[in-house]
Amino acid sequence: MAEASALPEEIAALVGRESPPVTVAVDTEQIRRFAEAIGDPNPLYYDEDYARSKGFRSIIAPPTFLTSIGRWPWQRRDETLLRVPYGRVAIHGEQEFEWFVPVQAGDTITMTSRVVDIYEKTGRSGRMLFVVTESRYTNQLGELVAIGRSTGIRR
Amino acid sequence: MVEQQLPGIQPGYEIPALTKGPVTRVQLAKYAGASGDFNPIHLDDEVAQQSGVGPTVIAHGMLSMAFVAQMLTDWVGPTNLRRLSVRFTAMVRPGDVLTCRGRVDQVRTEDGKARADCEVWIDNQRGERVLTGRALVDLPRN
Repeated sequence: MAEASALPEEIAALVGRESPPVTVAVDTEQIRRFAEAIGDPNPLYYDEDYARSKGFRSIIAPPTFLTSIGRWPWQRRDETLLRVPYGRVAIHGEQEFEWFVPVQAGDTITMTSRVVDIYEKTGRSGRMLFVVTESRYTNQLGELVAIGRSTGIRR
Repeated sequence: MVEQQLPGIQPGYEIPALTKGPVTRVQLAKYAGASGDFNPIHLDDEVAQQSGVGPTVIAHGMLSMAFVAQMLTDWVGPTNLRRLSVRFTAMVRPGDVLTCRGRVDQVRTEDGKARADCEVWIDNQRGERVLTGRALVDLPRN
C-alpha cells in the first residue's frame, strides 16, 4: 500500500524551530520607498511634521511594511529555518498580521520567527507542501508591534 | 457608556472601494527593492515559466495585501487596522487592474472600542478574485 502522507524527517523536524532574532533599524527612507512602491500617498508615511502633529515620533510605516524585515542577506535568519528541501517553486499562500503599535522611523525592530506547522496536500498541480511561520515583532521600547503568520506553498 | 462610531457603520456597510493599477513590471521591481523580496518569479519571465507560474512574472502576494490594507487605512486610518488575514487565490500579472472591496459583517464593542469585523477581497479586471480575507478595524470616534 502506498504511504502518501509521511513527510521526510528533515522537513517534519522543522516544526517548532525558531530563528535567532533579527534586528533592523528602520529609517524614513525605507518607509517612504515602501509606501511609494505600493502607491499609497498617505502623508503619515512621508511627512515628518504632519506625523508628529498626529502624535507620532516620526513618520509611520504602512501596515505591511513588516514584510521587509529580515529579508536582506545581512539580516538573514538562520538558513536552516528557511531552507525546505521540497519542490521547485515557493509561492505565498496566506498571510495574517495582527498589529498593536505602529512602526515609526527611528525604531529598531526585532523579529523572531518560528515554524508552527508543516503539512502536505495534493492539488490540481500535484503535491504541495504548506509551511506556516509565525513572526513576532517588537520595538526598542520592548513593545509588541505585531504578530505575523505566513503560509508558504512549495510545489 | 454609549460608544460613538463612524456614522452609519453597520453590518452590511460597504467599505469605499479602492482601484489600484494597472500593475507594472516597474512597480514589481520597486516593490522587490522596497521589501527585499527578490524571488525571481516576480522579476524574470524565464524563471516564472520554468517554475510553472508563467507565462509571465507574477506580482508579489504581499503587494495585493498592501492594496487591500490601503483600502482599510484610507477608511479608518493606519492605526485603526487591528488584524488582516488574507488568502491569495489567483495570480496577479503585469497589466492587471485590481479593485479592492470590503463589507462590514459585525460591529461590536471590545476593550472599550467599537470594532468592525469585515470581509475583504480583490477582483481583477476580468472579475477573477485574486485575494480574499478578513479584517478587524477599530472604528474611530467622531
